[in-house]
Amino acid sequence: MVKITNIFSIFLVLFTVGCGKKPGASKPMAEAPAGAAAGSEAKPADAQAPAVGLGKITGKVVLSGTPPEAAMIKMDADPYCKAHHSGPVASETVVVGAGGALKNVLVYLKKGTQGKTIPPVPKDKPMLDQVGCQYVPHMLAVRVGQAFTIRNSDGTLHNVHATGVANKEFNLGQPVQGMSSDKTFNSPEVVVRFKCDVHPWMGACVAVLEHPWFAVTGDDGTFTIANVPAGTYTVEAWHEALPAQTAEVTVAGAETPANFTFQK
Amino acid sequence: MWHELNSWLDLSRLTGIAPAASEQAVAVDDLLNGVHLFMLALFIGWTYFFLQTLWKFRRSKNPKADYVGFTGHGSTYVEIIVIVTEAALLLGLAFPIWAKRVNEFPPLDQSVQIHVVAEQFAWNIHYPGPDGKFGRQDLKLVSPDNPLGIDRTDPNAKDDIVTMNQLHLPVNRDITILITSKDVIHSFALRQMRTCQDAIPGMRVPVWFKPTITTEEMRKKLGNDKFDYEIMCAQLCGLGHYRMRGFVTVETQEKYDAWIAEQAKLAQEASTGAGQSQGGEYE
Repeated sequence: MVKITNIFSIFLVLFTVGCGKKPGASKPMAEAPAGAAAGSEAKPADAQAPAVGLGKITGKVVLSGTPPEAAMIKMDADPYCKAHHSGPVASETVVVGAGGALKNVLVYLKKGTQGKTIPPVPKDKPMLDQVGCQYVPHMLAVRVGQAFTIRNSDGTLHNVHATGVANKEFNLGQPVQGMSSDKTFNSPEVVVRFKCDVHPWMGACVAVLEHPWFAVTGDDGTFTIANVPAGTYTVEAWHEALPAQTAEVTVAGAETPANFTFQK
Repeated sequence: MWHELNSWLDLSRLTGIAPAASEQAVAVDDLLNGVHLFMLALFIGWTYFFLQTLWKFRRSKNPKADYVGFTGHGSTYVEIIVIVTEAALLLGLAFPIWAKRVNEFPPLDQSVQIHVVAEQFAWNIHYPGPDGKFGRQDLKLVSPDNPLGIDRTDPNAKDDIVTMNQLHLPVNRDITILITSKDVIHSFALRQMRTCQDAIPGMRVPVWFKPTITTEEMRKKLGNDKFDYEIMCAQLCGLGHYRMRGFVTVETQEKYDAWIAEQAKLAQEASTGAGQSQGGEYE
């Protein structure tokens, strides 16, 4: 009786281990061979285009109408945070510059990258920093499988809480000034929202994309997506609080403009 | 009478407990002091008994163990005295203090009502504003800019004040605080007011007290310019529990009214300017 139970248990363990899924392993693997195979072949749609090279998409993102009045962050909730700023600090949910320039908008190729050669994941690690009790940058875009560094530059406890859906949620306490951790997201997701459990106003968005053709708008609302293979794409401009805008763009080896206007 | 007796030897002060700052704290301190005095009496008694035993039954005088020990009814009398004292403290002090605290809430229209919502790891303080009515809240509107999901299109919510970790109270007024939590169990503790109540998600638990010493007065009393009353989190709630504190300012009615008016004005400007937020975390 004992012997049979032992053998059964061994089978059960082997079965469970063998059938366990490794997170996110399937998607990037599927992408690479397909890309490599279709690599140098020109797609039928580009047959009429001039000599194929890599182009770029540039443009500006604006918000139409009067910009909404930003809520002020209640930094006096934590004396350390308040001491770090000389005046009131506005919420970063909607940041509008001169002429309606909309900051922190993620612009990326949503559709049309099927069959293109996707460059490998770069080795450099973008940084998500916490300075003056705010996440810097507010919108960060990384590749699937690209490690990025989360650092606490403040002399107070921050609790980095990533609320991913496709990517595993995590909660990281960083009590010491200067301490940092590397994290990697292995599934594409637009976006993983970050919050700080100690300071409720802190927020950041980390977009995880399968390809390198994305950009985040700066203070002037402009963006440049470089090294885009020729083709027709659906480009999406995504903002955390406003409805996303899309546009059909055909890239043919030169600079292609694409501007987006958000409505409130 | 009990209070006069207690003030004569205030052991609570000697043990380093923060000075009482609310009307209800006085009775609690009386009980604490009574217990301390009782413990002191017992300590002296038991120590004397212990030393006497060591001396009386020392080996040189008692080579053979004594199976009888002390004789006489002295111990019975002492036990009776102890039981009676304990009963007096429990039934005479503790029960009435507790009963008064939970049964005799001041009428709602006469007390200052404040909602406190605890979350990991901050205290959200929600005032009804000059109109005295709390505005509607909606879970779908919760966002980093709007932690309590207040629906600013509701007319009652236009002047609602929401602060983070900043609690202002008028002195010598009854304060009723309704405490709840957004996530896990926290505990709202105002040590100087001798008030403590668990913040339980899903329940709004009322607690009341009447502060009697303003922050200014307490600073002078303690000789400490930087003193602030604190809300402490008194129930382990996660890795930020140790630093989950709020700041309480007890001030005169005039200063409190001025602060409320200023905050309400800011809140009204914000609700007309920013309008409804586009959506929250829980869409």
